[in-house]
Amino acid sequence: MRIVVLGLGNPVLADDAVGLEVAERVEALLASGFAPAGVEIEVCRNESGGWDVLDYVEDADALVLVDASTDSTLAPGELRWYDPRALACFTSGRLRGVHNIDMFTAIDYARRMGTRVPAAIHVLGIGVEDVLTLTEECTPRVREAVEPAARRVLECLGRLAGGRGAADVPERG
Amino acid sequence: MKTVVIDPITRLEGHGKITLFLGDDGELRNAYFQIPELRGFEKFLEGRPVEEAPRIVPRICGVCPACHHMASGKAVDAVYGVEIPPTAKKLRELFFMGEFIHSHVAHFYALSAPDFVLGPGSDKAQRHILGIVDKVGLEIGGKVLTFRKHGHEIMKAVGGKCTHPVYNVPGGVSRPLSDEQRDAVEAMARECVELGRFSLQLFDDVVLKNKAYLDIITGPAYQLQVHDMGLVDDKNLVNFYDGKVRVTDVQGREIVKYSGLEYLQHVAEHVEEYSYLKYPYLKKFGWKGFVEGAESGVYRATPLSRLNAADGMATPLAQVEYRRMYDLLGKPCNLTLATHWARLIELLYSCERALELVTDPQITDRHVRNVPTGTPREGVGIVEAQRGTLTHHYVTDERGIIRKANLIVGTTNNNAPITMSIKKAAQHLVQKGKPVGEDVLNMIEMAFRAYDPCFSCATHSLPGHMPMRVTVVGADGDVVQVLERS
Repeated sequence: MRIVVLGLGNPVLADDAVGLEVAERVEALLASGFAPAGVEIEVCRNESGGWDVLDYVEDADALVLVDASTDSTLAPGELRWYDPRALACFTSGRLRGVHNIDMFTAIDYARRMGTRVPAAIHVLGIGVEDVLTLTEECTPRVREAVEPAARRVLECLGRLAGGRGAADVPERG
Repeated sequence: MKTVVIDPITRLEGHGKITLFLGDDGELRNAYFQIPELRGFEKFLEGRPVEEAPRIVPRICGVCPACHHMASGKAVDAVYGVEIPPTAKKLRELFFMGEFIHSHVAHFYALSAPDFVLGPGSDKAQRHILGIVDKVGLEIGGKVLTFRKHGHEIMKAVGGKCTHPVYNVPGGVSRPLSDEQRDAVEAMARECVELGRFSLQLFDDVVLKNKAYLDIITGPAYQLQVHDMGLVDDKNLVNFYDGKVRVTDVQGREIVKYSGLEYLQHVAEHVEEYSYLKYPYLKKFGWKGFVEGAESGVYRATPLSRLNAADGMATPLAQVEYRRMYDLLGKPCNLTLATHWARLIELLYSCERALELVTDPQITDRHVRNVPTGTPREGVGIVEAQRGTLTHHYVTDERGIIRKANLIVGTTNNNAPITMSIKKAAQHLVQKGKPVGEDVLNMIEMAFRAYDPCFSCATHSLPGHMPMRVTVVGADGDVVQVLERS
């Protein structure tokens, strides 16, 4: 089983970078021996969504997507697993910008063309405070959410691996 | 006064909206294209080493990052006064062709084609790329997927990374091309040429042979008489990476040709208080407002403008298509929707040019960088982004720390013409006393979509969706109509 963890974000746009930071932390934890057994896990980071997601998910069985969330019901740093079908409902099927189609439509499109894309998509959103200021720093509450978010991703990976070795990650420090 | 607000653009590519102002009599009074979002990249660059700029500026946009990477790379070379090796120049251009292929394919098939393959007034639930597949079949859908992928794979093979590249370094590129990489790129480029020809054939079959669509393209709602801008080589042929910026007037006559720092003598920027996005204009004519014609300072920088401003294409198949378009529509062409045709001609050119470059015997030469030794000072880099001429201008201190940066991005060039095109479309399409229907909104958006505009910031936070919302407010302030696009 091949699982892709994809962190999305813009590294110079405050809290928008949080998906990238979580992916980096997940990668470090996996490299430290906390990877579930029996599955192949690839951690990727990308700065754009839409079509570009197809570059990462081809031939994967599952996708765990981590991104900043502007969902107004989320407090900064709060974590939420989204049902990708519900997110897909948000989309027009056409575009979510004027350049690009949304990633769920892109994955659906590739599937219909016969490309092997993940059957299971898990989306972890992290509530944000500021995604408009050009800075390389996340706001404090969002920065504090990186570690718990990475642990939630590891839990998810453990479940996807069938509970085989979903390691308990010790608290930092 | 009634107000209609079209808010179709999500934070994915920045945030903008269209506002239509209707009078009490229901007639359109005015239209504005507004960008309320902060754009602060120039300030963000200040105080940073200039060699970092090519790696930072791609973060302006998740869609055309390589364009910023290229313009920035050229500007940094100019800052150091270094000439890059011939092979490095070819490799940069080859990498750049990959982005043109990827971007133009995505725009045409995902964003433009639904309006024509399915029809501008077709059911919005079907008017998207999946609806196209339903109509034209899986085989064509598969070709689109391959075409898009090849664009990205060419960039990866040449530069190692496509979305936010780290390829350009002061004085050249970070690595040469291996024989194996060259072979892989050549195979993809050959296939892309065929896919480029196929795309133009599809446009011919679906759009040009459909009288109703041709009438829409040539109709008054989508015409705009402004000047044209585009980069050309020493033979006045279209070039995306290098050359001089040529500006031609509404009759196709050359107004000026400039390069580098000379841009300051020819282009200035007008500011409106309701938008962070400036309105560039030609200094020769001055800012006279949102007006068309020979004496206006407004110009466009789009695929169609590039073809208008040039004398032809530098590759054989694209040149045949160039002649065919102008034989039918006349030159210069001021039909906004013909931009889609021009974009496909550029797509074919990009594929042919990629093949030319990758089969150049020099392309695998190992000398790909001249390490700069001069004192950094000031430099300008100009390339063509998919959506218009892109200028990066940096001033540094003697240590190479950026003291001032100025960027004129593709969409900024087109800010005034987009506003004018929206107004014109709305004037012809919004009918007095009738509710503004979804089909009308889409046709107004078509005027805007032809420009393939870009509004900064590669943000894409979840849920990443802001539905199009149109609110019609009566003169008394009450909401009389709300339309939402889900």
